[in-house]
Amino acid sequence: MIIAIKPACLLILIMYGIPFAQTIDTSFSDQLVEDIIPEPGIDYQEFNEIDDLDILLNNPVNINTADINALQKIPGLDLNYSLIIIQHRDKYGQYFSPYELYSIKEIPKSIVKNILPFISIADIRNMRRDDRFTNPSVLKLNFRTRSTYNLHDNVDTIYNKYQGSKIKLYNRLSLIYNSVEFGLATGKDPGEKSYFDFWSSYLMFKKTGPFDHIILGDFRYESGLGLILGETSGYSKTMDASNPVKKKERLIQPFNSSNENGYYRGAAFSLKNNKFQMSAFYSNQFKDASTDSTSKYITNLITSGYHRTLSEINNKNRVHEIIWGIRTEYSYNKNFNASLLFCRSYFSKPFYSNIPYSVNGNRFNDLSSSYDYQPVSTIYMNGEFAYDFNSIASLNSLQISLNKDFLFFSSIRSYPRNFISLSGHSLAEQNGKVHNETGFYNGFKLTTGYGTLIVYYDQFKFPFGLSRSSVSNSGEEFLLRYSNYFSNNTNINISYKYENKDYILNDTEQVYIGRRLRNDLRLITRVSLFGSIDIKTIIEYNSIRIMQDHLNDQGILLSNSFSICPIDYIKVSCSFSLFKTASFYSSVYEYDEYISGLVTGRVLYGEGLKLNLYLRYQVFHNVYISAQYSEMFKPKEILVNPLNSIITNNIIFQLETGFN
Amino acid sequence: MRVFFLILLVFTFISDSYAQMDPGARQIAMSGSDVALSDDVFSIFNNPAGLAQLNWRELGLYYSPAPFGFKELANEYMAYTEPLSFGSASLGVMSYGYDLYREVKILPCLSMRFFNKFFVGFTITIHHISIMGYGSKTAYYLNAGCLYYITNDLRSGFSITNINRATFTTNQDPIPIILKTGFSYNIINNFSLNTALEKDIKFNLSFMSGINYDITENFSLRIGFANEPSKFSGGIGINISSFNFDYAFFTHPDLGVTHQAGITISFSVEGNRTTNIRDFLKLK
Repeated sequence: MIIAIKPACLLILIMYGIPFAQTIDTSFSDQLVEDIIPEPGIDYQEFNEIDDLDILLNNPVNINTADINALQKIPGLDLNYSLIIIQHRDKYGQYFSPYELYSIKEIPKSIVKNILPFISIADIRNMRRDDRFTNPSVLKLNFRTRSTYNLHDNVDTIYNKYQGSKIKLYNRLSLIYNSVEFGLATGKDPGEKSYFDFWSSYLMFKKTGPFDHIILGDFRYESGLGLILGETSGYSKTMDASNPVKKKERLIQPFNSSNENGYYRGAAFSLKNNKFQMSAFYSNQFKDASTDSTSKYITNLITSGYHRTLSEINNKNRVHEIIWGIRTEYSYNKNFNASLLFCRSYFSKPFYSNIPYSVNGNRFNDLSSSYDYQPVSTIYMNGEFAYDFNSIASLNSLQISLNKDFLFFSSIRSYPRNFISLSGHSLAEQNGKVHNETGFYNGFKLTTGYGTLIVYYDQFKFPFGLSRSSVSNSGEEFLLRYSNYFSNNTNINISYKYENKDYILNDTEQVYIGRRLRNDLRLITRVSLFGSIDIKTIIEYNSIRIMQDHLNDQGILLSNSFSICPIDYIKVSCSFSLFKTASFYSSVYEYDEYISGLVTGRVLYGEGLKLNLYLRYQVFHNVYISAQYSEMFKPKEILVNPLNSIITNNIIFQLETGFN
Repeated sequence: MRVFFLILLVFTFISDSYAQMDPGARQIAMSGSDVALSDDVFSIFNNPAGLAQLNWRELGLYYSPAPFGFKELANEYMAYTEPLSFGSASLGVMSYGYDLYREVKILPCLSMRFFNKFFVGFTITIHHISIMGYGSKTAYYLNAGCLYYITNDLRSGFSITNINRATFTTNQDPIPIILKTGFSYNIINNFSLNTALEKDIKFNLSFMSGINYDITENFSLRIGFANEPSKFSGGIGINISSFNFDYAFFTHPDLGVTHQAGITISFSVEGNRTTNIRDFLKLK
């Protein structure tokens, strides 16, 4: 008789005594999270999109002054909803409260609820005081510390070869004093020796003298649609089909994340007057890289962030990068914006690869122009053309609001085979890589009294056989999603995704192309009871077929999760999922978004169960403690090889505090 | 000892195949699709949350002497529920097998009711197994269930069996872990449509659907079907005073048809079960 007591005890704690109270949860709704992040592609993936939400939370968009561009940066707001917000403001004057959005019948209450944390009404704060939505008070502090520990003994043998312990640590501090902001973040991955293996910090001044922003330290810089300087996930295809066509350019943003890539270290500033905006940055930092045996050439930039083994430590800070850029933007009549960016980067060692059209050399220059244009209020266009002094890459998008209920969007992309952009990430099939791809993305969003229908269809082609696949190949992707609210407390989401992609088969003598067909049907129901209980059910069916490889697999997922706030200061959640897939190809997926500031995606394959237990406790007014226990159990794999079966079996603790 | 585990595995598989995990002639007649209905005492074996819907004492007896003609597969169930101010306390007992191989389960259960629309329940299963000549083992595991009214006519529920992954053996092969989730909808007051999905960690997903139609106050008709394994079922219920006599049959793809019967006694309450529950929960 063996009893696994841990989950049982926690569940009993969760369920006992349930007088209900208002929720204290400050994390983002799971629906919002699922709308903005793509499907996970690997076993375990942490999504950085949540950092963007955190930044937006600290810098809410003022709906009394925001233009169409600024509003569309809020997750969940598309062109139609942004137009409605502006039209309401033009017609009735400035908003008295963010809650006033609830009175606009064209915007669903679920959308308003999701965007409330990201908006403010700062200009008329004297008319109605609401600390959450007005300008920051004198001093704002936020501190978060998180540790993750793998409980399973079997992984000890794996960690023996690493230099450090198996604990994972993350600490983040941010201080805002009027227009000055300071941030510090440290991180340690499992197996790393130093508790400060990664650190980042910044000092930011807002609205100081002639400067709009000045940042010293670590920052991010995004321009245009990301062809030259962009975020990894900024234009991913997600369940919110309008996501890839919305312009998300944020120029200078402080960097305060555990992500060890995608930031610059140095200084940046921006200036602004009525029609012109100018910004520039300079970055000087070391990066992880693998080099060839002579150490003369860079063979690969390493983005894993791991420094556990001697070899990984040896690759740490291997190359020195200097990058700087300058950008000007001109606005005309609020309907037209155009910008020009020049960027130059230098590496201490040259890149070398004998694969055609790969990165070579150590100096890179890029020139880019981007625009957005709104000829009439219901049509919005934006795009970017980038020149690397070899070839020109382009991405152009169009949104047409036919009426308040129907939004059409389209985007066309062309990234030549010889276009090199080391820091570029945009709408692209290969993890945002702006290289050797053409594509045509179309979709629409239809809002009716019976729910919202979202569709996108994306065709793409990789014209030249390069390192990823040795022959030209193509594919298409189709998404149909239906979402509706019933009786204000029940939400249903049904999505169907179809993928038809070339699949490269390597025979002993030749390479030939097959077709990989994937159908994924996903049903999610969410029921909210008494304002303090949330119950979610996920049913997913996935089938995949590769005819030439005689592969025909299916996968299913059945999941139930339950969240409750039994008393004002406690929230508990548990989720229980069973899955069965014939192989990794037919894998299903799930997100974990319980711990605030941490969103992970897991690809589930094989046969087993996944269990999550979560507790959040408000110790004092602004001090929160969170704990999450996660476990993956695959009985058949345990019988074969105990080590392979331990995908996760960990516990996370987080302490978070903040005051205004 | 190795033979002991071999026999154990065979019998565990057989019992899964026969789907006798959820007893009760009503439940069997609806092919086990009642996870979101769960409105009688046998819910203790399926979704214990449903027991908190009852404000009366109820005793259920179910005996299947020779399913498909095999007396070795005989099984007996007994369940009793006692209403409390916040829900109910219940006890279930099961016996399965014959002289050489026997399983006995005892299930104490606590169910709670909140605002007459939300119900949770927990059972601890004390599962004893004995094989003549090889010895015996006992395992303890936790089951949980949840049932809630989305509207007055639409319910949803789910249940989890063996949350703590108890096992009889020293390896990691557990007693079946099962997640069951479903909906139940009253199209009219006396006609409910039930659907459920069941996933056993070792088996394929099974879809179940069933109908319960209370034609008169004294007579009910039920049908159901399921896949994995493919199953068709039906049955009737006769309600006389506090006594409910239920009959069910179901088909098995390999073994054919078998017949089941059970009786439930609802103390101090008479009439239609659905109506009684709606009156108690003050559902219009």
